[in-house]
Amino acid sequence: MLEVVATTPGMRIIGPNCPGLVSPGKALLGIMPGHVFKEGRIGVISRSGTLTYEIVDGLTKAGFGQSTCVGIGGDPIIGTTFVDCLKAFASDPETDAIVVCGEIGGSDEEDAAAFIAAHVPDKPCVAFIGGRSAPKGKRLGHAGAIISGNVGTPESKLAAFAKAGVPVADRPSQIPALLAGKLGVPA
Amino acid sequence: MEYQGKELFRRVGIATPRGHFSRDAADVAAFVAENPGSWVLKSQVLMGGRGKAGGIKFADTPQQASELASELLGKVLKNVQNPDGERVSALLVEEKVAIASEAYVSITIDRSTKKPAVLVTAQGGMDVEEVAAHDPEAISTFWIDPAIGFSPFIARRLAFAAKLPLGFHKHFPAIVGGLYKLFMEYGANLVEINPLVLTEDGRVIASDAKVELDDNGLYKHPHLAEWRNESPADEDQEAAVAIGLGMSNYAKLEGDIGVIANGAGLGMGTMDAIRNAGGSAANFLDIGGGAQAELVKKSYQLVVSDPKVRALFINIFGGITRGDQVARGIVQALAGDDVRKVPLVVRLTGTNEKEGRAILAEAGMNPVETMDEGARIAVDLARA
Repeated sequence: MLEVVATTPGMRIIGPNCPGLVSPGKALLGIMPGHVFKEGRIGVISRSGTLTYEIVDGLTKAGFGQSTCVGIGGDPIIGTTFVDCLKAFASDPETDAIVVCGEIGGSDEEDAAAFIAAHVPDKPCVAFIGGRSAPKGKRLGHAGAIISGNVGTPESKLAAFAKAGVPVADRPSQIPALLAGKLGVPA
Repeated sequence: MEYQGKELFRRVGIATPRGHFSRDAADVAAFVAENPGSWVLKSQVLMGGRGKAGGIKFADTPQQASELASELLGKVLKNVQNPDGERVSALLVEEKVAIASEAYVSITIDRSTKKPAVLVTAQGGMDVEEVAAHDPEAISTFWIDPAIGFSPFIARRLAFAAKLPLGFHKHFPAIVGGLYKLFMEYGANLVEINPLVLTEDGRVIASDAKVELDDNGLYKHPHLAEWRNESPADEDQEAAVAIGLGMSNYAKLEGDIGVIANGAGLGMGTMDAIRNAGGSAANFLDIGGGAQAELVKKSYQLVVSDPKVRALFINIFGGITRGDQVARGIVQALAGDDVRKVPLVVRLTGTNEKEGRAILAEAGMNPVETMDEGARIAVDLARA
């Protein structure tokens, strides 16, 4: 039913189970702690709320401000996906590079990697995948973060990003350096 | 379990075999004595493959029924998928039906299309994943638009597409319609009939039933919560609910470093950080958003109640979670005499960070600055 609303022209659903979105210096819709964000030119998309804060805090401290950060939510079915956000960032003149923060479960990261390879040729992207040390079959807080069978494994997501030429950080603190490398600026 | 799934099936008008639920061998024998004929004794367990594991027996006389029921009740069924096995504590005694043909039908959520998908194949009674692997063309799928809902033509189209024997066709729309109603009303992740049986006398009945409800939606159906209590419970989930967390917010793992974080993503990230630092998490615990001191305290107690835990890393990046509340919870937890103390590392950032740090400092604790640093220290503490 939400999908009907979501596909109505001029409307978009973000979430459920998400912290919202923020364009630093412009607008905050949701529950993100404003003080960690800073105006800038990096787009951030994430399935997790607090992990977004963690990553953005690192970006801000490294001097990378953000154009827009979107927490898309940790549920299996969400209104706005990585690909929807990537489409928007790809054509956003205020965004120079994109950070994709995924996690185990589902195939959204694989879809995102394929989309980046095909449609985002000129904006550098960096990724992170949460839950790489998680065992199979356990549901860790997010309803969407469960590995069933071979769908949703970190290996499959890592392979997809590797194929798309997107470096994946082993830990959030490595993201600024990876971005700097991609953008050709000192970290 | 099967008998519960069938109870739900009957509520939406899906025919099931005549049957009797029992936990007692004498009661099973009495039922067969009152209702002479051929009966099937089916072990009520959650694991799959119970037939091959010896959990299904056939009885024609009350004496046979009594013997077989005594044999099954209390038995631990094991197979390759379930090496630990599952104890049988109840049986479903069902009429032995004369099978003309078997089919398969299920409804599940398809994440990528965000719609319920109806799967049908004429190869019933088999492992559907095997059918999908070896003969994918044999499975017909229809994605139902939830805004429009179910319509009988969907079932008719699937029956033809999957080449179901004609005997199924007349009944099929009512069966798929019932399944869809069940799926939507109870917020299921999966409803499955395998096999759906066409009997020699022309009836179409659900010979087995599988209903996987979304635990997050259970609160809407309190009467189903009772069933939950009858099943072998997941201890981690129970422990989480007991202290006021969501049921998937706590999970025990193999390692020796306890984890408490706010948010599932940060919790998983913390586990990963511990592994990157050469250690291994003993658990995942997400206190959620906006946790109060009391919940933080109870979470601490829950994590250290696991004897494997040799050190604890509390990693908080507050958005709607306030640092002062977290700090108070930690101090309160440590003040208790009856609680096990383990080496502790706290990282506290975000909303009300200053207030939280002040509270911890007063109690003689000095939080670390980053997640990586905290993980490193926790690993060292666990080894010490």
